Amino acid sequence: MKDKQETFIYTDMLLSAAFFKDSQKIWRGHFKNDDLENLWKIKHKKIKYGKTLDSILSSGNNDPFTEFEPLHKDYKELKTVLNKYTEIAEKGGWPAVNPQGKVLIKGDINPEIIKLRKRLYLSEDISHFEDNKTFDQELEQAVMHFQYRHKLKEDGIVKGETLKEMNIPIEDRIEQITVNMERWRWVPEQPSEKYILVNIPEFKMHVFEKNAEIYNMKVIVGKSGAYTPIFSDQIEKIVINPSWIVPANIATTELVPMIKRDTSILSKQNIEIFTDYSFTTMIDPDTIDWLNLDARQFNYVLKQKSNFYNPLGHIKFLFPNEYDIYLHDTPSDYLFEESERNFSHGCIRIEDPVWLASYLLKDEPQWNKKKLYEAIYRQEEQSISLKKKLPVFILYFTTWVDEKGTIHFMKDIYDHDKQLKSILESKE
Amino acid sequence: MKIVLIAFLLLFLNSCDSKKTNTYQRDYNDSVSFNILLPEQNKISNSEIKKFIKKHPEYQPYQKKLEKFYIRRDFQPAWSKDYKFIPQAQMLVNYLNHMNKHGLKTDSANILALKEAIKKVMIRNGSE
Repeated sequence: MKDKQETFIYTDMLLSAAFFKDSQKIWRGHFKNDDLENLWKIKHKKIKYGKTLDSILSSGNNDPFTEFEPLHKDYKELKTVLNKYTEIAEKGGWPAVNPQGKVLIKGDINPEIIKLRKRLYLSEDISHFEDNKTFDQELEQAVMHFQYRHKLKEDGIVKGETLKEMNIPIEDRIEQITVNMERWRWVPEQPSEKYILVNIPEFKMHVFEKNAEIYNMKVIVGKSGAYTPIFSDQIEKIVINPSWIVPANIATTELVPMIKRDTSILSKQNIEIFTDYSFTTMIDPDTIDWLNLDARQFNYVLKQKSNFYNPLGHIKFLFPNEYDIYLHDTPSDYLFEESERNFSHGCIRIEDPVWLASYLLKDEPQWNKKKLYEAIYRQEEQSISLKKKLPVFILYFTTWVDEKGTIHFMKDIYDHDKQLKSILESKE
Repeated sequence: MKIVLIAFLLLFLNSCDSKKTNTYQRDYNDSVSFNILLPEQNKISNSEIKKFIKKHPEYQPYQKKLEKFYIRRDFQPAWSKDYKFIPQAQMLVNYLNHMNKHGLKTDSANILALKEAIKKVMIRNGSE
């Protein structure tokens, strides 16, 4: 009897311990924020595991554990694709296409086209597979669909980047999905009724209301060495015709060397020099020995009033944070035409700031689009504190499934997937 | 005769205690109830947990969670009723056995240990 009791006790503890150890891996990821350093600065969601287990033990549900899995639509959709891809991988994966340096284009006849068809069939870019060596129109459409899903030039030609992306083994895509599912485990389940999501690798900003997207626009994010951090905050203030207080590192590495070459930039671009961030004492630029000045020793503060050259454009959106990151307009609109838009110093330049400003001010009767344009044309700096703050999430997802069920893969521009993968492996 | 009397008294005391425990269980959670009160040596106390952690140091980070969990349950087992496993025990094993569906590594050794422990209990149950 004693033996039986001991076995019971032991098994009970083993079950409970296994629950505490492994369920959190599925439900909230097995990381603390400290493990992730610069990869994620948003506080993880909290689950009370003891109480959750109480509820499971008392549940009459046939599948009580799945109830606590991440609720995000994106997580569930990625999980479906993951299982589909795992099945394909177990059967040998998709074939590599190797046209021996040749470009494959509509009208071509080449035995490698059969492999191309198989590859695109397995990734659901074409609905059926046939043993056909001819590159026909249907295949061209399939290639274009593949290019669309990978943010490539949609020309239907198989070469260069298209071929490179196509030949990424399915196992690598499975790892990419796994890493992104891990991130979804960290995202708060219902962030708020309305929120903004900036997805860095997609170079896009999405506006959500009741979990449905109501608008999206292109964004420009931080370049190499000036990565946009992954964090969340709330937009509190809009500034029309903002001045730009030049960050010290940009002043010493970019602006001061330019001024040294041509001091007239200061007056042409409306840049003023102050002793410090109180902006009370202005310095006459003629009193500075620009010629002999070591840019690294420049200790003043540069402030550029709103004008054509001001890199913040006409509007900025503030959500005060430790990284000094905000959303803003840009005079360099042409950069939005680029497909990979990582050019900024970390701040996020947005394509349609007037839309965002009017959206944020839509409940304030004294503001509308016309009034916003009038305020811009007045060229005076004007701050508007928002009565209702709007949460903003700056996230990093390199794969997702769209509303049509199509999976998209982006480049890991900051190598965050790579780093997270290695942290995940070290935890196993 | 004295021994019989002491045994009877002990049984009586246990039954009183049993009522208390059952009431607590009902207040705490309607659908998890234990019809029998386990004897003292069958409670999952902190010292039992310590012994368990010594045997399975891989669960050391979860020791506090385990202690809190069993304190809240008045040290009663969670996964069984009347010496029979409740369905959630097998469901947990199945759930953790499919962690790969979530892109996570299934801890096969852990699953095997769980399966074996459950099997062992069931065999012992059947043999008595």
